[in-house]
Amino acid sequence: MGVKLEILRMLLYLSFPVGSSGSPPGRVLPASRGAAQEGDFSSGRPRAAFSCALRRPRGAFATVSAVKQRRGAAGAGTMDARFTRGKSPLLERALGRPRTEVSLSAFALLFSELVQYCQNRVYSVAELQAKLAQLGHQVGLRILDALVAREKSGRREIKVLNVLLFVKGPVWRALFGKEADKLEQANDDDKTYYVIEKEPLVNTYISVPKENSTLNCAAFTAGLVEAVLTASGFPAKVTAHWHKGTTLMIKFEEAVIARDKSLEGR
Amino acid sequence: MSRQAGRGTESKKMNSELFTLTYGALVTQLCKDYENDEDVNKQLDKMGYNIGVRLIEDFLARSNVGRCHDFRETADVIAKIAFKMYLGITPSITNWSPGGDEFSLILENNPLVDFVELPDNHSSLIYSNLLCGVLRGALEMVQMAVDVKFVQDTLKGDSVTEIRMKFIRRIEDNLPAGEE
Repeated sequence: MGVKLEILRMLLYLSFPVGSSGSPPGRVLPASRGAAQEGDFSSGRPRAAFSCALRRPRGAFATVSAVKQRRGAAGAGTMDARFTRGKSPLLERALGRPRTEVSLSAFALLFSELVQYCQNRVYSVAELQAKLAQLGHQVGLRILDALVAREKSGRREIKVLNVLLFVKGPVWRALFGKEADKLEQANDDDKTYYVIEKEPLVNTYISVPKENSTLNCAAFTAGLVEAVLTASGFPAKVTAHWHKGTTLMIKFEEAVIARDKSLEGR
Repeated sequence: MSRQAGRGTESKKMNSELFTLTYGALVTQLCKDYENDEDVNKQLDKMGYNIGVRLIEDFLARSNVGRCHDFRETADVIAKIAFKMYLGITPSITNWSPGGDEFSLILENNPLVDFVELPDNHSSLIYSNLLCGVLRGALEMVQMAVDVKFVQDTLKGDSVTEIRMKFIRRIEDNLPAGEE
């Protein structure tokens, strides 16, 4: 945070030559820090222009460019050109925990449409699951950033067990409102782990037809977990299976386990 | 089709982020699969329609709302009960036409667009077009033909998101779902 603050301050100084008529950045920033902390995260309204800067670097650049525009600076630099769209109020929002909730029915209906759409474009159950996993992947990549910033104050995990606990705990809580039911390691294989969920939320209202009994729409969740693990630096393959409810089988790459062993004892 | 006894009128809630991101993944996929934004908009509307057709039953079962006497009442039910129930927001109703057959829903906070920024090459994409389909589909199931469209969108730099709804006619023959 401190470093970001410095960068931001430097940027602000760049855009406010000493003695300019703009508001002095040194005064604006400390005040905005309080605003960012006390801010109501659930509100979608554009917040005080500077509060975002502390949490989202992109917002910071956007703010700077917005200030420049306001001052009518003639030379809109290249950075401005890249970030002008940052004037969207969404970027001014803090990354705090969202307090908004939607109904499970709304999600179930949306997910159902998503599955049907995918189903119309594939020929087999395996392809359908791959497609769902691909969509889950998108979600996983995006949620990871928010969660690492929110839950771990920007720190990353370096141990396999910890990253798995991160998935079982914070990731699951943020997405599904509860921890995953179980986390197990395969008896005979040190790179295989299982996350077991008796009744996954995504499957709540899905009944699988007999002829496609192997289909498990939690493939979506599997893709999501795969993205979270891979993007955290633990490349793995994750697949969904019908076993004790739904089991997500996580197979880490050899290198991940080897690295973990070499870290042992440190 | 007997109503289940003891079915909770309160529907279960969940974190909006999974919903938002899942919708984002869907739109991304559509943008990859279709060549132009108009087709994506159409597909989103179609999916929304399918959702609406199914959603209305869920809505009536949970909300205990009776028949609406006029379009103004319908507007109130949509904004204050339906949006609240499903998306956790309450849009405001404004800009009634003099004839009372057209109004605007103003969404200050659209959960579908959290985290969303439209890239320059998708300027004609109506990102939340699914909502139009949902409203159209749901109202069609209660014998109301409506025209729904976005007129303002925060994603495109407007200060609010505005959905315009226009009452077209009462549907006398109840067409089966999927046939228009």
